[in-house]
Amino acid sequence: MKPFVEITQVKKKIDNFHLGPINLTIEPGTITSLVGNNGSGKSTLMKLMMNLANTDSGSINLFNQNVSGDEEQWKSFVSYQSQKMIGWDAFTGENLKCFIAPLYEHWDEQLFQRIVEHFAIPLNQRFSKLSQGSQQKLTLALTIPRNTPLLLLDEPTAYLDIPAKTHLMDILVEWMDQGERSIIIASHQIEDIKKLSDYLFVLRNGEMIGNFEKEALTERYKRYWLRSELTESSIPGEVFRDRVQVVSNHPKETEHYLQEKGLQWTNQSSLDLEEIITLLLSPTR
Amino acid sequence: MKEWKQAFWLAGTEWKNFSKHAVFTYTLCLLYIVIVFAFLPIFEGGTTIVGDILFIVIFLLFPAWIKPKESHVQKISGEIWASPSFIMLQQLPIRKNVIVKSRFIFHSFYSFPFQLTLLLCLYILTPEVRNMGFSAYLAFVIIWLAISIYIGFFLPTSDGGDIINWKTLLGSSLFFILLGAAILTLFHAVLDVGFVEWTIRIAQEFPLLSAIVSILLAACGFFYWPRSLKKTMEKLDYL
Repeated sequence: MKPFVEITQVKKKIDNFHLGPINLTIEPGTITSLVGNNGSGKSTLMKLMMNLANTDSGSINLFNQNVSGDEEQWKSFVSYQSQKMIGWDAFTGENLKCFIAPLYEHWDEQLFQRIVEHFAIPLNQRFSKLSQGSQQKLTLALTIPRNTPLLLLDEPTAYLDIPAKTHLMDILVEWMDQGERSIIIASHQIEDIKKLSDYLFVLRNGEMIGNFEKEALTERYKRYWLRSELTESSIPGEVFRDRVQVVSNHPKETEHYLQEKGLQWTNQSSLDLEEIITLLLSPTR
Repeated sequence: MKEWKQAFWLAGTEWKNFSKHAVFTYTLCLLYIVIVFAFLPIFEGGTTIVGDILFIVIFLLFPAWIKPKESHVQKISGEIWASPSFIMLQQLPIRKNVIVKSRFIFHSFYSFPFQLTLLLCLYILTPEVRNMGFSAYLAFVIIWLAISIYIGFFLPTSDGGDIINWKTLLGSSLFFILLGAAILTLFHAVLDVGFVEWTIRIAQEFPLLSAIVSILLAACGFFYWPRSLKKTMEKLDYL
C-alpha cells in the first residue's frame, strides 16, 4: 500500500523562522507524534499539509495528490483538528454537526453520540460559551467520527482533564483498529506520545531532527554510571555527561570504548522517553 | 452545477445558523432606511454629496454590517486578517471553487433582499423616483443591483483576507475615502448633478442602454471577484 503522506524537502520561511527541509513519510496503520519545543513548527507543518499555507520549496503529497495542485480529492481523506477552531464560535454543537457530518461519506454517528455522551458535551450551547476543555471535547467529537483514513490532531489533549485524556486514548486506539488508518498528532503530553505513538517526528526550532521509531529510540539511549569521574574529552555516542554519568545514543560504541580504555561502569539503565526527547530537543545536542 | 448546489447548501446552512440575528438586524436597518428617506431630504432638488454618501453607504455597506460578526474580516493571527467562516470552510473537504461560490451566495442572502427593499422604499418614499415611470424605475433598479455586484462583491472577496498592519490599513482606507470623494465631487463639479441623481437621469433617458451596460458590468464583476478571491486564498498563508 502506498504511503498516505509523502513530504519531500519542504521548506517554509516565516519572518525569522525557518522550517525544514522536512522529509516525512506516513505509512498506513501508524501513529506519528510530532514532537518539538514551542514554536518548532509542528502546527505550521500541519497547516502546510492541509494546504492552508504555501511551501517555499519541496512538495507535500497526500494520498498521491499534491496538496497545492488542482486535484482536491485528498481533502476527503483527511480530518484536521487545529489548536484553535476558527469560525466555530457562533455555532452550537448540534449545528456544527449538521454542517460537518454531511461533508464526510463515512461519518460515524454512533461514535459521535458515544463521545458526546461520555464527555457530557452540551450540544445546545454556542461553541464560544463552552469552557476550553468542553470546546476541545466537542472538537474531537466532531473530528474523529469523520472516519477519514488520515487524522491530523494538533494538541488534542492540551485542555482535557485526566479521565477525558484516558478515554480519548482508548477511542483513538479503537479507531485505529478499524481499518487502514493513520494519525499524526502534535503533542507536548508525554503520556499521549508514550501510549499512542509508533513514530516520533522530532523538530527543533524548525529543524528536522529525525523520524524515529519509538521502540528503537528507547532502546538506543543508555545511561552509564562510571566508577570515577571522566577525564576524556569525548566518548563515542556521548550525548550528555555529568561527572560520573554518561548518556549515549550508540551504546555499543560507547561500551567498546570504555572497555578499551579500562573505564568501568557500576550501573547502566535505559532512558525514559521524556528524557530522550529532552536530549533531542536540547540546543547543545 | 454540482459546485453551485453544494455552495448554496453551505451558504444556506450557515445562514440558517444566523437567521435570528439576520431578521433582527434586517428590521433595524429597515427602520433606519425609513427614517433616513422619510425625514432627511436627501433627494430634494438633486442629491447632495452628503445624500450620495449616505445612500451609497446604506446601499453597499449595510449588507456587510447586517452579516454576523463571524463572517466579518477580523484578525486571525499576527497580521493575517480574514473572515473566520472562510477559515472554517478551508479546513473541511470542500473544493476551493465551492468555498468561493458559497461566500458570494452568503453575501447575496444579505445584500439582495436588503437592497431590493431599499430600492422599493426609495420608490415609495421619494417623489423623484416615483415619478420616473416604470421602465425607467426598472432600469434604475438594474443599475443599482449591478453596482451591488461589480462594486459590492468586493465585500465577500475580502473574506479571503490579507496581511494587514496599521500602515496598510491607514493607506488603503485613505485611498478608498479619497477615491470615493473624488468621484462624487467630480460628478457634482463637472456634471452639476449628484451620483444618485445621475443614475436616475440615465435610467430615464436611456433605460435600455443603461440596463444593458449595467448587466454587462455586473457580468464582469460576477466573473472577476470570485477569481480574485480564489487567487487570494491560493496566495495567502493562513498561519
